[in-house]
Amino acid sequence: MELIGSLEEIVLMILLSKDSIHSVDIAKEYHEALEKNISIPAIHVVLKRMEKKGWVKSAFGEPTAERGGRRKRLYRATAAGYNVIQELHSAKTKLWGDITKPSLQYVSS
Amino acid sequence: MSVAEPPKWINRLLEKYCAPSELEEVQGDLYEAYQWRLAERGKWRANWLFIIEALRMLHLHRNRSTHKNTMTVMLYRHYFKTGFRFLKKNSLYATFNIIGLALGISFCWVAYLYTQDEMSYDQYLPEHEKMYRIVMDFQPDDQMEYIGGSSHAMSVTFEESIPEIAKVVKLQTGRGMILTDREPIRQSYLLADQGLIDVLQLSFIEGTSGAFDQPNDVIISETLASKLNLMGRAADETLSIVDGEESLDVIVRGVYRDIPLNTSVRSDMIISYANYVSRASERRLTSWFDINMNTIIQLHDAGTKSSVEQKMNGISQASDDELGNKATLGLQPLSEIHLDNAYGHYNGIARGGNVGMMKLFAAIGLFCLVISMINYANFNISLYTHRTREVALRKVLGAQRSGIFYQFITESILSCLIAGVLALVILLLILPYFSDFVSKHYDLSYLINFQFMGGAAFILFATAIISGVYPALVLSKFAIVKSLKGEQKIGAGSWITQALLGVQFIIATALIAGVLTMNDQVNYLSNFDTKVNYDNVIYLDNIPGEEPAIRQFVTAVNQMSEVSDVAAISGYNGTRITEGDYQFGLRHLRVHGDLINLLDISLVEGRNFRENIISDKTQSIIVNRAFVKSMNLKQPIGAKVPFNYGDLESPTIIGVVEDYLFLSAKNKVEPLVIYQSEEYPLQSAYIKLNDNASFDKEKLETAWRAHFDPFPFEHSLLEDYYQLAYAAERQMIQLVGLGCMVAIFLAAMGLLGIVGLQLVHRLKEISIRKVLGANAQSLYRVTSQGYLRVISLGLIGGLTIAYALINSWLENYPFHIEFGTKIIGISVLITLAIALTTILIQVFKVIRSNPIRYLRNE
Repeated sequence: MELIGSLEEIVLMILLSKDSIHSVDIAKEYHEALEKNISIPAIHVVLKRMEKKGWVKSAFGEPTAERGGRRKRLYRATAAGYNVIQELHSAKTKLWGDITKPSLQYVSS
Repeated sequence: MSVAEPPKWINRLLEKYCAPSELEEVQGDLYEAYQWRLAERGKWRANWLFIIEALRMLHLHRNRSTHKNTMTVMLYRHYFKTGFRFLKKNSLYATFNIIGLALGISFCWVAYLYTQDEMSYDQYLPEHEKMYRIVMDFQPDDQMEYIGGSSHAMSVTFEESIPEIAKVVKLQTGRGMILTDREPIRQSYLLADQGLIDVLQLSFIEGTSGAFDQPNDVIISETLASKLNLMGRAADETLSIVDGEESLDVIVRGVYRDIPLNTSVRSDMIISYANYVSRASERRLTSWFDINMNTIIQLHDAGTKSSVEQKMNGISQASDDELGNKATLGLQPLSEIHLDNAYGHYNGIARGGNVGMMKLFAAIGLFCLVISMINYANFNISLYTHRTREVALRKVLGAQRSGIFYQFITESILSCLIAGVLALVILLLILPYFSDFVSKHYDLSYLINFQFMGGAAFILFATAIISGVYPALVLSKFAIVKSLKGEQKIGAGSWITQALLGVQFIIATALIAGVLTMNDQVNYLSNFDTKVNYDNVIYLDNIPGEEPAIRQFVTAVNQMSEVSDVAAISGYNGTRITEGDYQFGLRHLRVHGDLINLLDISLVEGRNFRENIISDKTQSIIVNRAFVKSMNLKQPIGAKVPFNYGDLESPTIIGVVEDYLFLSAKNKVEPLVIYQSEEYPLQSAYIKLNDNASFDKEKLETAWRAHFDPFPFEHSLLEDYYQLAYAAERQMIQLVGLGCMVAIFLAAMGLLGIVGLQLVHRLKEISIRKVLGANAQSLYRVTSQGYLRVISLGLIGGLTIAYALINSWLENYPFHIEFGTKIIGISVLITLAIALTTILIQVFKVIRSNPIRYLRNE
């Protein structure tokens, strides 16, 4: 199983949930889902890395006014991307199944 | 949609450095995010995030392809290549150019090295900014005297009663001969407190200074230890130092690493100050104004300087109410001592710097550089014909003006780099001579350090840029079509070129006039009528030994057959007469033997000393005319003078001598009193030989050895001794002369080049004139007229500047020549001769050429 960073995981899941999406929209989705801000370059880093690994693909869309007449680069998850997430997710679910819930062993912090 | 736009400069930056394939996405994303944040979080925050993110994007999406970089590298390689080819093609001019630049740069480097070294004195000492020397402005009458010294009593009192003072170092000097198994070694030494060891941060390689409070404690430097052959076994060794009648045994406590040369207080031998205290009389130690030493003090805080000065003056006025009010004590920062000649350098302070020499060096270095830079600019502009087509073609192929500008700047950097290598060779060659010349010890270690190399590199690149900018601007301005058709003109006599040429001649003329004047002045001084006959007179300075030994020596020498006369003297000491209306400085001289006769000094009035008149020994003096004038005596012979010195008490004048020159012609002859009283020890001797006797050194030396062994016999001719006084001036002449020669050489080279190049444009004109029957003479006139005008203006400018500078220099001398027609005439002649020859060489070549060759083209 390939290792995957947590930001990569979240971005990939956002991509899987959409048809195709560009980085600013990813940032907005991220903000909505996690209620945390993320910088655009951070997303670029992750997208570039995943593109190299073959989990996402990109293509230019149409120019829009809100971008000052520039085209978007739209990203879309690939089958390989889906498989990585699925593997990771089942592994996590298995681990989650072994945890006694809820337990008094947990140290309150 | 909001009207707010993100900062534009960031977008330009992105456009310049982002990978082109990713630019659109990056810019678009940032823009969109900006608008989003603007709506949600306000303008300030959006702007801030935009800039931060854009900078991160720049890194993330930087242009990874080396395409653009290789282009730049290729472009500059190409510039260098064309530059080289251009230099090769015009190798003659290129050689002129580069040699000129190299000379200018190396002179400038040397000047930089020298000034930097001179200004670095004591700067390396930690806390030097808190250290001062006590100095004194003394005003006994209307004249102010600046005294760089203090007294033992002062330093002791100040140390005790002024709490702001952290440390006091008392300094004195002495000298003598260190006796060894072989030849004795002449050595000067410092007498200093323990504090000096801390202040100078001496580090010991053998032993230590210990408490350094015993009269026989001494520490010596590594150099002296090896000279004495004591390396490794110096500790506890006893050294005997002899000076005249005194002798001193000291015990070596430690050997320290040599003190850096750029230190004002340095010596190879330091004896404990306790030694002085043990020998000095009570009066010397307690008298407030017994100024015979230096005090270096270190303050806790440099800010308290003025309040410490105030306290010092308060104490001083209370301690000596007579002189206290006439003297103002002050603190001179330690790092300023070296270059400040007002307070002098003695009593433990090493020889000071020569500010005049330093400025002269800097000026000449700069002059040479300016001339060679002008040469470079003028050459390149004049060579433009060869390059108009090249520039035009580049422009046709899309080169921009800035590109062409950078090309020419690159070329000038290339020339300067080559010149720099050559300059380095020149520097290494002249450094030993130079360091001899200024009595320094410059070696490679002075060159290989950050400060010098930084400065040298700065000079080199500044030269490249400054000399390159003007030609680059002119050359990049060519219009394309005109250049391709060969019609581009920048006016062969462009006024800037002319002005630059004029500046070169201003500098050259000023230097020529300067050298001529200096030379005349020194000749004038050294041929000055001294009113002394120094033919066949030998002068012995610094005779060691006691009075009886010297007397015996004089008698012994007098008996030699080749000697006609001998006289010993005390040296011309200075003092003041301060009695009633008489307030003036004078010199006084003790003689033993008939000095007046020996030197053929003419007696104006009265008589010489006589052997058989006893009162001549104690009650009579002979004075010079200046003295009579200062005293304003109508009837000098028989007058009693308030000159109370030793045995003399209001002595009587028995004779008046001519104002003969006893020091040098650099100063006016001061009032002089000659006496025979034995107050002052004898110090020097004059030996007059018979007219036809040859000087037998061996014989004299044997007599010397008999009385003053082990001190070596040193003698000089009196005439040479007089000339020694002008050594500094002669050194200056050498320097300015060299600078002058280089400047003239460079200026002539520049002229040669520029005339040749400019004549190329007039070939057709000259050919037509020739065909129409012009003779050589009229052609000379036509072609050289323009230059003559520039050179004449340069001459006038140069002479004006020289006039002002030289007159202010001449005013230093009471006896001086006038900057008059002779010097002006010769300077004009030399400059014109050089300039005209240079021009004519080039003109001659053109005139001799076949006119058909240049007319056939069309």
